[in-house]
Amino acid sequence: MKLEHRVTVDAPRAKVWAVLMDLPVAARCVPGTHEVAADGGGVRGTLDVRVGPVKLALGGTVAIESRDEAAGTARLRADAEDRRIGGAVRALVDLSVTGDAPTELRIASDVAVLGRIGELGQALIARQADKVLAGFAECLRATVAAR
Amino acid sequence: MPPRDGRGALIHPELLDRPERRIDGVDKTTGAARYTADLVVPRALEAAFLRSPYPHARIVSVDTERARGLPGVRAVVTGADVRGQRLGRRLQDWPVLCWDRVLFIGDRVAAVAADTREIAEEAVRLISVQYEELPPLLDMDVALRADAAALHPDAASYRFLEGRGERPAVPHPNYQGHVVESHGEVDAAFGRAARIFEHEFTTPRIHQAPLEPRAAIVWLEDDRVRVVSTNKAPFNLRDQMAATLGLAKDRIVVDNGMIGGDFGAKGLSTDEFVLYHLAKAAGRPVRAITRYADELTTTNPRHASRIRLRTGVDAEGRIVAHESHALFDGGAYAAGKPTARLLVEGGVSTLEGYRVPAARHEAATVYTNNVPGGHMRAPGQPQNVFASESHLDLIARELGITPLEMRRRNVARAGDPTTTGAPWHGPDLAALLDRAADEIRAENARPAGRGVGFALGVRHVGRGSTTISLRLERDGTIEARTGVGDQGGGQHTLIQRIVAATLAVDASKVRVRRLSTEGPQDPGIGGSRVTPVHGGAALAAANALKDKLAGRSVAEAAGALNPGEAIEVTATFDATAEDHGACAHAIEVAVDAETGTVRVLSAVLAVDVGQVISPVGLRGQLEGGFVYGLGMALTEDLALEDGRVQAANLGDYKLPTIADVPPLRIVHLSDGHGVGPYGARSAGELVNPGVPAAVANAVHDASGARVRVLPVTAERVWRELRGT
Amino acid sequence: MRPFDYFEPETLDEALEILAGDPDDTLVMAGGTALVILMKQDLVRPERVLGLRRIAELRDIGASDAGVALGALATLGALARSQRVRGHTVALASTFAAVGTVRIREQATLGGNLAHADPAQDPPVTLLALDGVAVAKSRFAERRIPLDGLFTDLFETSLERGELLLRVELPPLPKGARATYKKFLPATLDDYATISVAAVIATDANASVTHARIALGGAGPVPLRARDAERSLAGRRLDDAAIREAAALAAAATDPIEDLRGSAAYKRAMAEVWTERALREVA
Ligand SMILES: Cc1cc2nc3c(=O)[nH]c(=O)nc-3n(C[C@H](O)[C@H](O)[C@H](O)COP(=O)(O)OP(=O)(O)OC[C@H]3O[C@@H](n4cnc5c(N)ncnc54)[C@H](O)[C@@H]3O)c2cc1C
Repeated sequence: MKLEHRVTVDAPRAKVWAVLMDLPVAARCVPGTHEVAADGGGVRGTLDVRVGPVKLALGGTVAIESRDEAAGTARLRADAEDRRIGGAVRALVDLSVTGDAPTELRIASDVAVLGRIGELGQALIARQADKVLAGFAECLRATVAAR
Repeated sequence: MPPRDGRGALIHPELLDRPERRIDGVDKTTGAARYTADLVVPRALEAAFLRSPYPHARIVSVDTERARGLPGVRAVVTGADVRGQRLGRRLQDWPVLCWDRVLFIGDRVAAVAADTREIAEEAVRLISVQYEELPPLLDMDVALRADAAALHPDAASYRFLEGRGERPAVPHPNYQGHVVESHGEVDAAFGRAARIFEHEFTTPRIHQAPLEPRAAIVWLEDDRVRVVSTNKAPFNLRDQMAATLGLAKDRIVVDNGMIGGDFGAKGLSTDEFVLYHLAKAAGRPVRAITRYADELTTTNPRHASRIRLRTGVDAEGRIVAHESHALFDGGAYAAGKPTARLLVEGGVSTLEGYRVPAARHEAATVYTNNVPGGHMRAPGQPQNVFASESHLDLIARELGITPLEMRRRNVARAGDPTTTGAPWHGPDLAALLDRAADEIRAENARPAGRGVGFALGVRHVGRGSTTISLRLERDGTIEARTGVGDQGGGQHTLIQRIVAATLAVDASKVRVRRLSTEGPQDPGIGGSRVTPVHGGAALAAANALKDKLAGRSVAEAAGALNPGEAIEVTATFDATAEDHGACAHAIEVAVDAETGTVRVLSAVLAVDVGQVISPVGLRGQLEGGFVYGLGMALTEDLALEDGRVQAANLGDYKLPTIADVPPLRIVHLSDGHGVGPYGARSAGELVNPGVPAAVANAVHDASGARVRVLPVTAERVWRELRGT
Repeated sequence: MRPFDYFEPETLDEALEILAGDPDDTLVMAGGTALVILMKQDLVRPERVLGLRRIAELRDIGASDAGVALGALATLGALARSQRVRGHTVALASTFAAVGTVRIREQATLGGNLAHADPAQDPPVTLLALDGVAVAKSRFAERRIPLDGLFTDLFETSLERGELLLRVELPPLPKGARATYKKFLPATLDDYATISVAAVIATDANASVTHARIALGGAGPVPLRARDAERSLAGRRLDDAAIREAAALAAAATDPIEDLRGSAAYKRAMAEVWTERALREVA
C-alpha cells in the first residue's frame, strides 16, 4: 500500500536533512515508539499501535538503505514484527527534501503488512499507517523548528 | 447384465413419487450429525501451520528451537524434513511443506503438533524463518512474458498421477495447461462473415465457501496410516498420499466423517500429508481444523479469468465462425486440478449450446504467485458462460435484434455442430429458451429501470465407474454399501430411493452405509457424477438382487432366510454414455440509475434434468445453484492486493443471504431421455454457471449499462452509466 | 482463544471497582459480538475480561427530562421493539432493526455498539442526529459526552481507561419533527451500510426549517454530522433547490475510506444521493 505525506518546514534544508539522517531522533518521531536505541548503522525499537481493542507491539529496526545528500533523497527501510498476534510490517520510505527555508519534505511510503495482522483488514491498516506517518511528518517538522 | 447406459424401465413410477426423507436430515437438524472436527480420537494432538507472508521468496533459514522448547509441543516438522515431497490431484507440484521457495502468501513452511491448538499456534509464532524476497509474478500477462522467470524450474521432475499418459507439453514454462482446439475452416468462415464482433470479459477469484472448513485426523495403527478427512473423494486422496509419501496404497485407509458442504473445495486436501509426518514424529494422532480465515485466503478458489471472444455472423445474425482466447489464473500450483490437461475444462468451449460451424478455442491456466486455483462447482464454466452469453447479447444489440431472437436463431438443435465440433446430443434447448421467455413474459413492456436477461447453460452428465453392494437381511431391511460420501447433496438418499423403487420396498427399509477405502474403489463426488454413476450402480445392484429373488418379493425372500443368513449382491457399473442437462435462465432486475443498485426481482429456470429421482434433493441443487450463481453475479469477489486475499471472513467476503433471493420459478421440461438411472440427468452443476450472465444481460436491458467484469456491483453499474 | 480471568459482577459499582483494579489489561465485554470474533482470531488476547451482562440496572430503556434514556446494556433487538424508542421516533426503532440479523440484534448492546465505534454501524448515525449524549462513569467520576465528541477515529472513542458507558440520553424532539434513517445496501441486504444517512427536520408554520440535523455513517473514519448542510437549511423551505444544496454540502463533508464496499468517490456520490432521498422523505 502506497502512502504519501508532505510537510513544509520553515528551516534551512541542511538542518532538515541532518535531523532526517539522525536515525535515533527521527525514529523517536514516529508516534508510539519506545525503547529506541542505536543498532549498527540503524536503530532498533518498538512501535505500539492500538486499533480499538487490538494492540500491536511491533519490534524491529530502521535502517538507511541509500542516501544522496546532493539530490536530497534517501530511502529508509523499516522491518518490524509482532509476536503476539503473528505478523510483520515492512515499510520502504522514500524521503526527499526540496526547496530551502522553507524546505519541503516529501515522505513516500510503501507499506506491506505480512501475516495475521493483515486480517485486521486493508482499510483499517491503511488508515493506521497513514496516521503514524502523518504524525511522523508533523513531529519532524516540530523537531527541526525547535533546533 | 444391466443395460450399459444405466437406464431401467420405470416399472413402478409411483415409487419415485413417494415423499423424500433425507437420510441425513434429522441428524443435521438436531445437531446430532458428527463431522470430522467432532470426532473424538483418544490422545489426539492439534496441529497448526506456519505460512509464508510473502508471495514469492527463498527460504534462507528456519529456526524451530524456541517452538520445540514450548511446553506441550510434541512435534515440529519443517520443509527440510519433507524435502522433495509434493502433493497434487494430478500434477504433484505443491510442496507438502516448502523447503526452498514459497510461491504464494499462505504457502506452508512448518507445522507443529501440540496438546492444544492454542499451544500449537503459539509455537508457530515462535518459529523464525528468514526469507529472501523474490519478485512476485502476480499478473498473468507478466508471468507469460518471454523473459519471465519460470516459477517451477523443476517441473520436469514432478509426478503426474494416474498413469494416463504424460503431462501435456506447454508453450511457456508458466503455463499449467494450454490447449488449442479447432473444428471447421475457421479463417475461411470468418472471411465469409457479414460482421465480426470482439469483446473481452473478466471474472475474479471466488470461493466455494462451504459451511464446514476442511478438517482431518491422521494416526498410525499397526502398519496402517488411518486418515479421516473432509475430502469428498477418499480413494483419490489415498492414491495421492501413497504417491507423495512413498507408501503402498493399501497401507493408507481414508475415511470421511459427515461432510458439511463442498462445492468443489473438498476435492483438494493438503493438511493430511503434513499430519502424517506429525503423527509419525509424535507417535500420536494429530488433527487439523482449518481456520475459516485460512480457508478463505489459502485454499483453492475458482480461477480468475480473462476471456476474449471473437465471433463472425451472417447477415441474419447466424454464427458462422467463432474464436476464443481464455486465460485462467492458476496461481502458484496446479495441484488443485484433477483434469488431465490441467485446465478448468468448462472454460475451454465457449458458446456451448449454440450452433457453431467453425471454431478455434485457445484456453490456458497460468502459474502466478497468487493463491492456487482449484475446482469449484462447474469448473471454468461460469466464467465461460458469462463471457459467451454477454457476447451474444452485445452482438444482438449491435445487429438490432432482441437477445432472445439472437438465441433462437443460433441455439443448437439435435445433430447441429456445436462449438467443439461434436453434434448436439441432449435436451431441446430451443424449447427451454421459449419456455423461460414465456414464463418471464419477455414480450411485455416494462417500466423504466427494469429489464430481462437470458442465458443458456448446458452441462455434461458425469461419467465413471463404481461398485455398490446390497445385503438383504432377515428383518426385511436392505443395506446398501458404497464408497461415496454425502457432502450435503443428498447422495445417500438418492441411492436409497433408487434401490427402494427398484425393489418395490419403502425407502425406510433401505440403509446406506459408507465404506472407507478398505471397500471397493469409488471415484467420489464431483463432475456431475453421482446420479448417473452411483445411481446407475444402485440400479444395477437392485436389479441384480431382484434377479436373485427369482420372482419373490423382498419381504418373502427375507422371511425365508435363516438366522444369520443374508442375500448379498454386488454390482459394478460403468457410466459411459454421453448426455447433457440444460437450463435456460430468464432473470428480471430493477436498476436504480442514481446508485447503480441491482435488485433481482424474479427468475425463471427452465430445466431438463430428465427423470426426477429425489425431488427435495433436486430442488436443493437447482435453487441452491441459483443462489450460488447470484453470489458470483452480484457480490462475491475474493480480491487480492499484492498477492494477499483481502477478505479473511464471511463478513467481508459477501455471500447472498436469503433476503436477497427473489421469487424463483423452476419449470421442468424433460424429453425423458436422460442416460442416467430411470432416464435421469445430472443437476448439481447445471444452474450456477448461467446466472451471472443472465443478471448482467438483464442489467443491460434495464439500464443500458454493460458490465463486463464480475461481480456486477452497484459501483460498476453506476460508473458505466456515467461513463467513468 | 486462550484462557483469561473472567469477572461477572451484578452491580455497576462492583464492575467499576474491578475495572479500576487493572484498567489497562481488563477488557470490557457486553454482548461480545464484536469482541469474541477478535478473540477467536487471536487479534485480541485479554488477561482479564469484565462481563457486564448481569448488571440489570444498565439494561433500562427509560425516560429522562422529557426525553429518553437508553441503557448501555439494552440489546439492539430490545431497543428496536421498545415502545418508548418508537414513541420518541420511529426512525430510531427502525435504525436498531436495520442492524445485522436477528442473531446479532438480540445479543449486541447499545454500549458495545457505541464503544466499538465502527463508522459503518447504524445506531450511532441516528443517535447523532437526535443530539444524543453518552453518559460514562469511572470509579472516580461520571461525565456526559455529546455523541459528536465520543467518536474520535476509526474504532476509537474518547472513553477513558476505567470508564464504562452507562446510557445514552436523547433530549425531546422539537414539536412536529420528522426523522428518517436510510441505510444504503447495494450488494446484499445482510451487510454494513455502504453509506447511511439520518435526517431530522422540524419546520414552522411557514414550512421554513427551524431544526435540521443530518448525520452520515460509512462516510469517514467516524460517524459525522454534516453541519454545513444543516446550516444551509436554516430558515429555508425544503424545496428542490434547498435539498440539492444540502445534499451537495453533506457529500462535501465526507471523507470516505475506500474498502470492499466501494471507492471513496462512489461513497461520496452516494452520500449526496442518500442525503437527498432522506431530506425528500422528511420534507
Ligand atoms: C455478523 C455481524 C453483523 C453486524 N452487522 C451490523 C450492522 O449491520 N449494523 C451495525 O450497526 N452493526 C453491526 N454489527 C456490529 C454490532 O452492532 C456490534 O458488534 C455490537 O453492537 C457490539 O455490541 P456488543 O454488546 O456485542 O459489544 P462487545 O463485543 O461486547 O464489545 C464491543 C466493544 O465495546 C466495548 N464495550 C462494550 N460495552 C461497553 C460499555 N458499557 N462501556 C464501555 N465499553 C464497552 C468493549 O470493550 C468492546 O471494545 C454486526 C456485527 C456482526 C458480528
